[in-house]
Amino acid sequence: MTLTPELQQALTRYLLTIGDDELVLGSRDSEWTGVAPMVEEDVAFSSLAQDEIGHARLCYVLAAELSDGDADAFAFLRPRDQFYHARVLEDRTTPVYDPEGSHQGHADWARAVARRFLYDLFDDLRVASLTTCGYEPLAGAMQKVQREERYHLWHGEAWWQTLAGSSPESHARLEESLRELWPGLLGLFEEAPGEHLLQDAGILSTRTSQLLAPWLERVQTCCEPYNLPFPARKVGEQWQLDIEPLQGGRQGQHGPGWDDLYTEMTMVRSMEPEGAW
Amino acid sequence: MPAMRIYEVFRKDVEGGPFQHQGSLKAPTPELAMHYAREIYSRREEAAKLWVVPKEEIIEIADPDFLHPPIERTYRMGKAYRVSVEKRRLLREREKEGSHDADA
Repeated sequence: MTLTPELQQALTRYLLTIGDDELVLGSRDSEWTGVAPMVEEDVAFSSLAQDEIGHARLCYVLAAELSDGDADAFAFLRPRDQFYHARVLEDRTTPVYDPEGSHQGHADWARAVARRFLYDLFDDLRVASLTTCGYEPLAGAMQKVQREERYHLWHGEAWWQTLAGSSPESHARLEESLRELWPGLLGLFEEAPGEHLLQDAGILSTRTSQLLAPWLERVQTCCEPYNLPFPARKVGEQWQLDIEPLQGGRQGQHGPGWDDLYTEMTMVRSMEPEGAW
Repeated sequence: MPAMRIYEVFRKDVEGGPFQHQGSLKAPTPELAMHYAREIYSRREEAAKLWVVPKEEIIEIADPDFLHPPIERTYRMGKAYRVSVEKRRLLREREKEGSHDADA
C-alpha cells in the first residue's frame, strides 16, 4: 500500500496515539506491583500492565516502519509534549511509598479498577474496529491484541462486580472514583489530528469520537444495575453528556501526573540516549 | 468483598501427560481464580491445560486406619507382583544368554 505523505503522517500520529494510551496506562498500572490488595492480584494486575506495554510496542514498531523511526525512541526519547495519550491515564493511583509509614498520594484500588475496566471497554471497541482496517499491518497487529484483551475485560469485569456489589464501602469508593474519572474518561474520545483523512481514505472505518456512543451503551449496563453515577442521558436516539470531557491529551497537553511519569519513564534512557542495550 | 476461597491448581505440561498438583491460591471469585492460576502457574512456563479446583470440593482421605488397615495384608501389595516381574525379566535374560552360549 502506498500512502501519500499526508496520510503517512496522519497514520503515524494515530499509531503513536494508541501506543501512548497503552504505554502510559501500562506504566501507571505496573505501579501496583507489590501493593495490590493481595499477592495473587499483584501478579495478575502487573501482568496485564505488561501486556499493555507490549501492545504499545506493536504500535511503535508500525509507526517506526511508516516514518523511518525507531520504536524505542518513540517510547523514551520523544519530548514530553509529543505524547498523545488521554489525560486520565497519566495519573498515579498508588500511594507514594514512605519508609516512615506516612505514605502520600491520592491512592485507591477502586480508582485503578474503574479506570482500567472503563478504558478496556473503550480499547475493546477501538481494537475491534481496527481488526478490519484498511492498513493491513495494523489490522494484523490488532487481531493479536484482541485475543489478549478478551482476558483483560474478563478480569476487569470480575473486579467491577466485586467492588460494585460487595459492601457499602467498596460501592462508595467506586462511586467516588467514577465521579473523579468521568471528565478524563470522556477525554478518551478526543480524536487524533488527521483521523478524518484516514477515514476518507478508507484506512479507518471508525474515528475515535464515533466510539463514544457504543461505549456509553456498554458502560450504562455496568452502572445502572449497581446504581452507580453515569455521565450521560439519552435524548431521543442521541446521547447527551452531563459532564464536560477533559481534552487536550491528543494534542500533547497534559497535567502534573504526566510530568512525574515522564521524568521517571525516560530517566534511564536519557542518561545514555545513544547507548546500546 | 465476597468470601475468599482457596483453590488448588493442577497443570498438564503437554497434551497426553498427567495433571500434576502445583500449589494453591486464594481468590474472591472463580473467574479471578482462573486468572490467578494462569498468572501464577502458567506464565513462566506455559501449560497445555490447568485444572482449578475449590479446595473444599476435594474429597481428602487421610484416615490411617482406612489407608493402612491395621491387620497385616502385605500379600495385597503390588511389591509382590513387582518381584515376579523382576524374576521374569531375569529368566528371559538367562534364556538369552543360554542361546548365546549355544551359538558359541
